[in-house]
Amino acid sequence: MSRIKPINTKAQKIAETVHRDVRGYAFSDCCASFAPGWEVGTGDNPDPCPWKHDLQLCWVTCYWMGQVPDTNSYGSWLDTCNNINDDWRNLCTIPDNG
Amino acid sequence: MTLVKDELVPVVQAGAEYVFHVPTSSFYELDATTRDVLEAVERLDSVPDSQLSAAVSGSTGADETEVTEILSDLVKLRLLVPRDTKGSADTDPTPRGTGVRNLTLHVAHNCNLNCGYCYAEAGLYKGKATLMSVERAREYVDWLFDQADPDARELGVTFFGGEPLLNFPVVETTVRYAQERAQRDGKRVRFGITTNGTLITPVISDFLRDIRATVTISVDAKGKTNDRLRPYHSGRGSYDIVMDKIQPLLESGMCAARVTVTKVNLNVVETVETLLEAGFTEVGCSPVDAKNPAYDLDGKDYAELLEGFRVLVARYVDEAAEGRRYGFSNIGNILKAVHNGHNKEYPCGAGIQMVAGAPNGNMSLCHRFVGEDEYVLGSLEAGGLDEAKRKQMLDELALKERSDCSKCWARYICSGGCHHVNFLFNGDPQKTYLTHCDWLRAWYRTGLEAYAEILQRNPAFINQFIDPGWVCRN
Ligand code: SF4
Ligand code: SF4
Repeated sequence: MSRIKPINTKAQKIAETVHRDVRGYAFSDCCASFAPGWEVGTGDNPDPCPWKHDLQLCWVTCYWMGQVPDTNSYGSWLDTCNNINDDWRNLCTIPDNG
Repeated sequence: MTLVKDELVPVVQAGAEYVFHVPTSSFYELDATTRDVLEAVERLDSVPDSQLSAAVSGSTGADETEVTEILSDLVKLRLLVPRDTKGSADTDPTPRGTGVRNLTLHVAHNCNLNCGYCYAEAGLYKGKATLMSVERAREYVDWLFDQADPDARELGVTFFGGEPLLNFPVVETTVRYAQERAQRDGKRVRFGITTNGTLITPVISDFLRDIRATVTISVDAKGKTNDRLRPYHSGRGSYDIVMDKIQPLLESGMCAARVTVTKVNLNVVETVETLLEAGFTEVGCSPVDAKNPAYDLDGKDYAELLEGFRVLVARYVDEAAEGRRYGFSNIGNILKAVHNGHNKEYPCGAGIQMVAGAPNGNMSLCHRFVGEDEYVLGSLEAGGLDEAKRKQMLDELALKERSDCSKCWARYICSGGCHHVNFLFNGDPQKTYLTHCDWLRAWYRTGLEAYAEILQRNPAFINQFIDPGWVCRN
């Protein structure tokens, strides 16, 4: 949206909402539109990145199982990634929970 | 579905182009192509959506792929909407049906000054001179805490009048009582006082400093001009006395000034400058509504006032560019509203989170409605607010009930104007007093321009001074 710049708080909020509420109309740069899970509504999830939606939401709300981590063996797999922006590197590591 | 341009206010500032989206109060900067696309959509009113990109591209000369992308962004931001949803708003939720957080206590219905324009007739509010008793004030405090929502961590008490310092002993005892009660309830309590300043003594200054009160001094101009407007009953002027008495408070940086602008003191630039130089941290100006042609501003006066305000705004913006805050409160408040994208159903907190308590125990919509029986929302005697009446009044006062405002672009910032002004001039707070409106819109537009200019010159200022964390002392 390089030609239209939101300049007050309300505009920024609306612009963000638009990015989050993708539902099949738009996608962010990092992910192709056919990746599973991104199309589930993400009302409360503040991350615009569809990747995280796949990883967190897919196994709960989506029938598509392709990218679902093995949550049975590794129940706390996401604990090291509270914030996708800061902690994304941790996503590749399975926490050693003994 | 045909897409149309939603309600937008174009703003141009130093060559850059902006639009303010009325239904959401969001504010955008646009490039020239986007502006052309918006204009073209308006021109090509009846073109079906499927042909819009091609038609806009033909009409503007812009590349069609680019136009498609711009149109899609405009739709996402709701700047283009289906025709039947044009103008439909997203107002901020109003905290209704919740406890009162701010109580204005009329501790004295009497005044030692005799300002000709006073809406309360020298502080009497259509009654006899009365002072609030200590017991009554305590009852009010207990009521405030009793009815407060459990999650309200801070409550406020403002001492008002007439002149509240005519009843200083009650102010003092009430503050101590409220502090004890706050401690018991695990809440904080904050105090404010609006005074003419003439009765402040060193003891009172120390006290106000000690309780960290927000002190608002009513003063209208420098020297003689102030004295014409704000004399004692004897006719003697009050300016020199006030400035002398409030000196210690000015030195502690604790005073805001409230200027009532009338025909007599239209030179707001000089007034604001003088008062800031004298040590006030903030100066706010409010046009008088006296229903008296000797004071009320007419069209020409309003134009002059706007000019004055614009000079002060230019000064504010220049200071902001250097990272400093100029204490002209009026623009500070508008900038805050613009920054947050306020989109309100009500112009103020009257009857919502704030009520006023009279010496006789009656509680009114706000301080200005004290003495008007119709706007009494409850009483201590009856155990508090009459919730049914409160709800009915708030329902009636909501912006969506104001057909007069429904076409105004500023409606979600202004929300229909002060209920009391509407009441005073039209006999009904629900009936918009439209005489002010051109002025108000011009003023809100000045606010949008100032916001855009500050963002161009020093965006850090907005985060530092305007963001919600910073609370204006007015
Ligand atoms: S400026 Fe006037 S018409 Fe517009 S919202 Fe305010 S009171 Fe209503
Ligand atoms: S009704 Fe008017 S005077 Fe009363 S609180 Fe609202 S804006 Fe202020």
